[in-house]
Amino acid sequence: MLDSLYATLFQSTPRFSAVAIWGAWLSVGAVLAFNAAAALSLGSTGVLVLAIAFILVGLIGWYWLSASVDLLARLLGGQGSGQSTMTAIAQSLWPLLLSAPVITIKGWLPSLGELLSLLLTLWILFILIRGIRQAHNLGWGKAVLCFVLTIALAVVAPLGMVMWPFMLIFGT
Amino acid sequence: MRLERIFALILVIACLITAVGNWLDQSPPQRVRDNATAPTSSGRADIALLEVYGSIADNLAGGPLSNSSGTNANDLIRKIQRAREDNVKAILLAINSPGGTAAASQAIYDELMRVRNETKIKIVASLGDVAASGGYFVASAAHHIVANPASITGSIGVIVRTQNVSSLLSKLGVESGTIQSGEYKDILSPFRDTKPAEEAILQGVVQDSYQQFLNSIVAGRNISLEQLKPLADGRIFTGSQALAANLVDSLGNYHKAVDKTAELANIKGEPRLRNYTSGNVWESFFPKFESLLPGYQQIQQARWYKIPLTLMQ
Repeated sequence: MLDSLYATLFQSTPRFSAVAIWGAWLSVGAVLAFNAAAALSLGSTGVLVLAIAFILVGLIGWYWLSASVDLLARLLGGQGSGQSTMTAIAQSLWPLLLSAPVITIKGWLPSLGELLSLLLTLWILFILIRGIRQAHNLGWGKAVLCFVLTIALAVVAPLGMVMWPFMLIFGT
Repeated sequence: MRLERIFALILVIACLITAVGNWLDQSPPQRVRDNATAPTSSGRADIALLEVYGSIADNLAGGPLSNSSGTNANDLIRKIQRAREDNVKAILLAINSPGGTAAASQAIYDELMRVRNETKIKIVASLGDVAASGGYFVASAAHHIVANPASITGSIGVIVRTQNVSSLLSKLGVESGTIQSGEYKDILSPFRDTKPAEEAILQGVVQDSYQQFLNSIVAGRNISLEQLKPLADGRIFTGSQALAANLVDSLGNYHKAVDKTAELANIKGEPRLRNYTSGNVWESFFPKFESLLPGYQQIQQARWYKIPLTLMQ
């Protein structure tokens, strides 16, 4: 797990394993739960419930995002597997650990905090796109396109979820 | 263990500790016009909101498991000190309290006056339904008091209640007695009438507390003792009456108080406000278990009604 963290953040060829994925999931889930609890002024019960919710609901999001990226990457000529796509998505979580120190810095120096927050977001996007590229052996352009299309689909997905039952109920 | 692993382990632990620290340091400030529960971008708050709700007492320190429904003086003093350390420009006291104990109200007042005298932090009090007695004691430490026209305030005075249940006990065949080290050790005993000498002692206590109360109001507000005394016979005022009597400075609601605070503190643009007291959004979504029990709301209301408009009982 620790090797995976170091490799993801500081090396160009990340190593990942099942232990690393669960380690990332749990540690990042805990950090994000504390961040959210601080923003919402929640108590210890709030942290616990948020941590459980983030970890469980995050798994659903991980599956959905991986499925969407995998399908689009294949349509764009990718050659990776579903498992490698899921690994690529999971490894992009690691930098989220740094969101805690960034929030602290925001409290002290708001402008520096905002800048670091932006850099952290860009770093996460970079690691995610790099992961897609490596998992599917795509070029940088196609990897970026795959990611952008995934996000665009995520935005309009609720429309489809509403329209499909609508079509089936009223159209048949 | 390789150096890389050690570095990664330290990074994970440091990030987790920082996240816990952020959580313990509570929420980021909120823009005033935003929904009260909506978190916004972080940064320093301009105004520290301190809520003084329910009866004021010097309880044990509150915590996540605290069940106190009133204001804990020690807790509030710590929040005042924290706001001061955070270099806020102003403190806004949202007061909805029928009073409390003399010492607890005075302790909060003293801390606010210390902030007022030693820093440039402006203090504004916004009176809600009730800010009487000890509630007004606390408000009098503010540079400016804003009350709703129908807010109930005043009740400046001190009271010690006595009661004698001996006749009731004798009907039940219960006799009580005491063994005491001194003549006045059982002063305020509910099992006998108050002796004249005890009345004198209690009157002295009441008078001294009352004088301290008056002196504090005179020190906190632009009013003389001669002007104040006729108003300080325990009577209550509406916000409008209190304005005419110079006990408050302007009429308006909470939002007007926020605007006034921003004006006094010379805050340009929209002030960033941070609730240093409650701000527990969680309870609004997930009420306490006991609140789901039948009769809970009635009991809570009865607790409020039971609290008399007294500074000390």
